[in-house]
Amino acid sequence: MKKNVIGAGIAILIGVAVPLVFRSYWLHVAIIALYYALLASSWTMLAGFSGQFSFATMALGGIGAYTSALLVINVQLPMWLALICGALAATVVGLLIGVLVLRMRGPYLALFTIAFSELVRITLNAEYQLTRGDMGLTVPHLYTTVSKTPYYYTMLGLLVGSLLVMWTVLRSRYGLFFRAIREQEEAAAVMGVNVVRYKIMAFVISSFFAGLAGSFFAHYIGTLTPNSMMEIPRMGLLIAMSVIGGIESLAGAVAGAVLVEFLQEYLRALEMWRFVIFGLALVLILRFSQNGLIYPIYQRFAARRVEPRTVADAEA
Amino acid sequence: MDFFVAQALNGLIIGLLYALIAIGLSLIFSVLKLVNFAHGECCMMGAFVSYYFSTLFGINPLIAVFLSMVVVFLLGVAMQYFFLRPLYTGAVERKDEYAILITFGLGIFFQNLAMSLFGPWTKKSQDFLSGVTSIGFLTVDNNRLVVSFVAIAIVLALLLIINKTFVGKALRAVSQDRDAAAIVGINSHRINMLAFGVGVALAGGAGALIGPIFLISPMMGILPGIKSFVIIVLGGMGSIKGAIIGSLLLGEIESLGSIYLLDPTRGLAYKNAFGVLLLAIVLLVKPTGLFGERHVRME
Amino acid sequence: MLEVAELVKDFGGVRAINKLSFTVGENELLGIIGPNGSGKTTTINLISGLFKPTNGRITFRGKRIDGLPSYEIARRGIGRTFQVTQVFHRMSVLENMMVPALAVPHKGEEKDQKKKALRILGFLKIDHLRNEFARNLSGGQQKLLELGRILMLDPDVIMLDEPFSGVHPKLKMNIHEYIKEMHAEGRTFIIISHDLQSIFNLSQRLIVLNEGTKICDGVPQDVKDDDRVVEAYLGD
Ligand SMILES: Nc1ncnc2c1ncn2[C@@H]1O[C@H](COP(=O)(O)OP(=O)(O)O)[C@@H](O)[C@H]1O
Ligand SMILES: [Mg+2]
Repeated sequence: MKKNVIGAGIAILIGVAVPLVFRSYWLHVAIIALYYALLASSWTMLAGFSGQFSFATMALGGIGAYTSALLVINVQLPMWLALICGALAATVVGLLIGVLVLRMRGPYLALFTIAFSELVRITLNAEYQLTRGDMGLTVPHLYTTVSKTPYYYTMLGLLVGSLLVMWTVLRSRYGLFFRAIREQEEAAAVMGVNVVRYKIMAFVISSFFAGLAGSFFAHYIGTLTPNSMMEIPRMGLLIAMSVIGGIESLAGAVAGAVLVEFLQEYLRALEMWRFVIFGLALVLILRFSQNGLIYPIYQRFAARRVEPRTVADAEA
Repeated sequence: MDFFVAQALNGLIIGLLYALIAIGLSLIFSVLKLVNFAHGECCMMGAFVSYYFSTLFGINPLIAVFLSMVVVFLLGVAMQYFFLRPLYTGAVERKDEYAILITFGLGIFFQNLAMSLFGPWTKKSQDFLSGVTSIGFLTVDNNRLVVSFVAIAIVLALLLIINKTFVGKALRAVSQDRDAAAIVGINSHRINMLAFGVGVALAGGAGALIGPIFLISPMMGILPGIKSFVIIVLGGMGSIKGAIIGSLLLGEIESLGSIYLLDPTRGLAYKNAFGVLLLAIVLLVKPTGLFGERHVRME
Repeated sequence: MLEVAELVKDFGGVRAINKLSFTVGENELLGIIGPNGSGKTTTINLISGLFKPTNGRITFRGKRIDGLPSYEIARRGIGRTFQVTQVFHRMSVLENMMVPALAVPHKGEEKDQKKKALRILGFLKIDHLRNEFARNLSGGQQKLLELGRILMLDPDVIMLDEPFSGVHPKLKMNIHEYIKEMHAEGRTFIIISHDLQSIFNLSQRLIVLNEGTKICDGVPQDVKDDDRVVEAYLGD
């Protein structure tokens, strides 16, 4: 507990100091890394903690992005209000998906959410009169300045605030219920847990943060295309980030996202081959260390010793 | 009317290609009890392998289809050996989660690999048979005819193997009861490998057949992948008969459905959305499919 | 206090429970036996709300509970274990115990609940494992944890599905003792078991199921002598 707080404090300090060291291009990379960190932690909360393996996170981020962008462009909504509307739109859609997929488990849920993501992408591409499809939608920027520093601190603030909320939820009784449902849905139900309510709750919270990340991203990056936003390989990269970090840890998701995003910029000379490397890393890590790369290292330090044996240890 | 019949015929041909992919997915599901989220990518690999066989080595494109099936079969065997076998030896925890993530991850890996190796641009494979054939008022591209016959031949051959041979019997035995099959001396690991290899080879074959009709690209597998999920959910997970019926149904729905879309450019885009929407509806209304009873669960 | 009336459950075309009726009185210790596949587990699944009955009524303290969601039935004071032990694997023993404590509203302070959890773990002699992941526990320890987790619900009725299967003889004796103690506290028990000796010893009354119907209902001694029971077990 105490160690966690100290660790988080150090991480935030480093985060705050980044613009002092990184300029323009690398600061841009840092902003994108934080954007992915928010998406990855929202996925981790849903998949890792509550056991709902959804592939719709990028699509929900895209819904947030397009909602916010289109509201500013077409209705001249104030930027901050549009950002909130973007996050809320993703939340509502997440609520609907959450309700629809209640009875689905494992592969069915994965199937449904992959299909949903493609549906959103196809629709956004097809409605090019509104979204300009693959030509790209030009989105007003959040700030008038060309400096990246304000964007960086905004994204850092969003990330830290979101993580705090998610962390609080996961530490509370709700987090306990999420995990109980993940482990054994029926057992949770007969222990008095309202399974339906908490499955939907996990979906809704996770969608909100995905939408929030997306709407911020839209007004930072300035151009949106459905494909770059939510193509399936993009979701794959997001999952690689979360899995590398450790599927059951918010900090792991953040670390994984930052690591992968910086690596992919650093390895730019490899062109597409770096994504081959990430894909390979994803499957190898899953195969040989199902709990990820970063989190198990942390756990090793906090490992608990097995207690002496008692009568109940005796096997039949 | 003519246009309607032409579209119906088109739907049939596309349905046959879907059938190859979906039967493969269904076969894998019934034996290994998992959904292969890399299935569409295996289809894509088949398309590229056959493309390069015929363009680089000048092999007859029809022979290249079969060679690419062999290559994708071997690829499938390797995938199953290195990544899926641990599911059946007790080496991984949380099997459902692992099966989803590992096959999805492999799919992403293949997409990126294809992007790197073959480039992001679309390519057109060599014709099987150029020209067109006229049947009454209908004019059909010869490629499509060849594709239909080959697809039908492959499906028939597969049905023959499954229903009439010892290997087929072993496949069915493992799909019904893994433990009981082991007791009568069937090596279920080998059957897994075979089922997975054959399953993805069917997808690869479909990809190779698609080549001369449509364009091929690293992302070409995503939609057929999703559609084959639609089909096996529609037809009932693990039912081969259901997969065939579902495929033909989806092919027709897509082809005929797009007639009625007002705006043709949008129509083309939304054609692909039909299947996805259908999946959503079926999953909601009857998650066990039209013909199936079983639910997917590994643990 | 618990009444099952004309209960029917079909799976597809198969009738697993056929017009089953019985009542369980306050503080009774009822055993349910029957050959494999006779519908014992299904009966418990129906009472705990995991399955919806095809037909029939289940009443608890005079109120219908069939059709209620499982969590609501649990909150009304009916707890159960599973034939295949179902602990929350990637959660600590204490966290396992806290799930029912926090899931049921108005249970009181979290701190008091934690104390209670430790007291129950102490009673079951697994309190030294409180910070261990449940998946690291042995099969027997997991069975005890499952039992302890139910107690956190403060249930009036406890339904145990095969509590003695795959359990070391010495642990079996301990579980016997625990059941007797909890029964003495005034709780009602429904116990399913294959272990005829244990169940004849423990229960005050026995119900015998065969192919989804009740073929016998009475005190253990009568049941033992009943021809139909002997036939159900040895017949065919
Ligand atoms: N979820 C289910 N789906 C289909 N059939 C089931 C299900 N659960 C139980 N059954 C069937 O109901 C019958 C009774 O099973 P069960 O109650 O588990 O028996 P017991 O616990 O007495 O051994 C069996 O024929 C079994 O196959
Ligand atoms: Mg049973």
